Amino acid sequence: MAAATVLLLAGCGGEATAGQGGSGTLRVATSALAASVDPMAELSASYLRSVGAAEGLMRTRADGTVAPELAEKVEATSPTVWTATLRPGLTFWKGGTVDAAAVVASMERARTENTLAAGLLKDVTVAATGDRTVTFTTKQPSHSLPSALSHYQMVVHNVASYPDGASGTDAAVADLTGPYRITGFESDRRMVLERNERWWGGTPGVARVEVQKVGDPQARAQIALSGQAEIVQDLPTDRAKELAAAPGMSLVAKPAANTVTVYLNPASTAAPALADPRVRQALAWGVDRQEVVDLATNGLSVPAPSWLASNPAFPDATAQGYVRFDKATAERLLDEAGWTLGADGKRAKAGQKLALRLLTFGVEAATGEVLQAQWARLGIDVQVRNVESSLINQSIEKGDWDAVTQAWTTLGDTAKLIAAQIGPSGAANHGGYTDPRIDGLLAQAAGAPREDQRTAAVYDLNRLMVELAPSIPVHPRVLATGVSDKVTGFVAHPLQYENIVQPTMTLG
Amino acid sequence: MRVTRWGTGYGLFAVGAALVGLMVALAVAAPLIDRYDPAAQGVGPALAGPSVEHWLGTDRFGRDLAARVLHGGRTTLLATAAALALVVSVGTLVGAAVAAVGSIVDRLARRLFDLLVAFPVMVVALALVGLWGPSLATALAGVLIVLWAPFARLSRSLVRTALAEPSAVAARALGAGRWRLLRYEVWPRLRGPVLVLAAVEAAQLIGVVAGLSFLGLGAQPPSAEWGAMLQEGRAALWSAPHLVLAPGIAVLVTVLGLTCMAEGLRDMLDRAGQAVPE
Repeated sequence: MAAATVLLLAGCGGEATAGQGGSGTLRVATSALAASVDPMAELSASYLRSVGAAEGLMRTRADGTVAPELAEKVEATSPTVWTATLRPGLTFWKGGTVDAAAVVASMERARTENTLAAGLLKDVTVAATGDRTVTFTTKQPSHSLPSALSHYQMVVHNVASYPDGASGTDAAVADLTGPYRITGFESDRRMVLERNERWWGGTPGVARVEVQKVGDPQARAQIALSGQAEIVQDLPTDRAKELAAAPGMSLVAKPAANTVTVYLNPASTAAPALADPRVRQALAWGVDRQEVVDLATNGLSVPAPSWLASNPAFPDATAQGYVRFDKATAERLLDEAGWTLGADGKRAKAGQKLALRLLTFGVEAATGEVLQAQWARLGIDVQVRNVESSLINQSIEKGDWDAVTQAWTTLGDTAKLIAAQIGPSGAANHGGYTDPRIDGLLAQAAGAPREDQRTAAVYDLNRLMVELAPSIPVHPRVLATGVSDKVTGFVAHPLQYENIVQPTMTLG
Repeated sequence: MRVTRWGTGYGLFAVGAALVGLMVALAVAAPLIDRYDPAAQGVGPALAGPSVEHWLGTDRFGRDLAARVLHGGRTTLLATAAALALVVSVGTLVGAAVAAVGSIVDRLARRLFDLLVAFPVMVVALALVGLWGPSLATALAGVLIVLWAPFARLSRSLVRTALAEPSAVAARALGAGRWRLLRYEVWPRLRGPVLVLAAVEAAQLIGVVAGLSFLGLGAQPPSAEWGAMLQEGRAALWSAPHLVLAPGIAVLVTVLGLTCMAEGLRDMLDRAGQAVPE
């Protein structure tokens, strides 16, 4: 591949370009807030990005594709080299120049200080080859580097402003590039931002942003209804009807790029039936996803027949997998597996009842309850417990679990994300599923020379997940945001950290 | 001024007993009254208000709220009654035994009772739920660990007092056996105060059971339980207030009834000249 492949080009300023700056204060209520003004601290970068403070070389568009952000363009100049050209005239908030050397320093600090960033930059050498040119050299040909650069943890920051021992809670320490600069900060509680007049995309739409963390979802709903904030993030779906009908605001609901999935443990001693793929498939066919969506999310989400279905960059995934509710198939598979229906309406085999324990977390409690009722109609006894996520992780570590709900993101480096689901020792391959076809397809998805070949391999892997049934996709999570009628320019995004404060927003 | 029967606590007790009796009767008759499976989803439209078809409306899963309130009563009242029976019998027997044995056992036991009484029931229940995971049985186990102590402390005190009464001393001097003393000297002085305390603790227990379920630490889905139903309904308080009103009124009426019974009993026993617990 001698010819340089110009992968991505931004239009002048691209979609992020702001218009004329307006006045006023935008009040935002969120469910979580940055713990530190240092983007390399834990639980910080994504939140800094979500409030318009931090940017990376690339960003993810609402349609799932990636586009340049601080970079003007990113091109593959050889099979193992990607070259990013920075926009001209970029500056940090405090006036320092964002040149190639500053970007390299930022990347290297990220690699050293943050494990997530270290994973994204593994086997990648970053070098400045000009004032505005940064090269990323990989050991193996990599097609996913632009996607890695769009990850929230890859935000560009001024390393000189974050010396060792600097306070992560001092707003004066922060030096990033986003359209809004931090002027007040209380860790995980409150943040005040003001318009960055030096921003490369023009003048951001509002003069000041006040972000307040409100942990209780019901309290956030009340704030939205009472108009105490112009943007209220992460609203409870069980109040959708009331919020949608409220005057002076709109409820903007977007299925997130993550699929609420029931992971199944084939090695469970309490539910040995799960070792049989026919039982796992029966559970999947026995889910009426539309009913789950209607009852558990008030119709704000959509059914996900396959794991990848929540990724907008792979629209055909919505036609793969469990595309319909098929109770007859579920019953047939259970009968074939020897789990027959008794007079009491329960299925059993050799005197043992078909039962399993389902652990759910947070908003997935409602999904768990609907699944419990649907599987009960198949004769399966399901005990549902809504617990803390730490308890789910502990149960998985101990091997003492039958089924758990989790919602891993589907948007990003797709080959790696699928590898996490069914690859050997994948972080979400809780059941340790294996298949001889997986490795080859993963290699194809990550390294095939043509994009259509890589895409085909991703779809094949998605299909394989349906066949192996290590987990049951149900629906994407919902990003429900309350947006005041005073706000214009809010764009819903499938990624939470791209979804709150945007430079294009103005206050009417 | 003439003191009527109502003024002596009978009236309050009667009102309380009627309210509690009504709730118990509804819970017992639930399978005969309700027309829907309390766990069945989609029997009606989600979040529908009260109607002829669904007397108290439906919840977010389209479940019939009347069936859930009635069956929730069974869960709450049965759990409370079982736990109460256990703590009353264990506490009373332990307290009486300690009082009868006396000496160092009595002194040590007294310290233990005081220690346990100082423990908040909710905190112990939460600790057990943290250890073993959320369930109604676990939450009740936490209640049992602590709640027998007030009964033990009360019965110990009453038994000691009763055994020191001149009539008991005389009976013993005349050769009355242990059972005779218990039957004629101790039991009449014990039953009233223990009943009052049981009624007071029952009201508290209902609050604890409902409270733990409200926090998601007690009854688990799809069980209907008043506290869990309050939690489910809280989200739609303004758009579908019937979700909260139905279980809320059920808890209110039951606790009010038990409190009236306890207060009435206390007044009645005060009139009768018995020492009663505050």
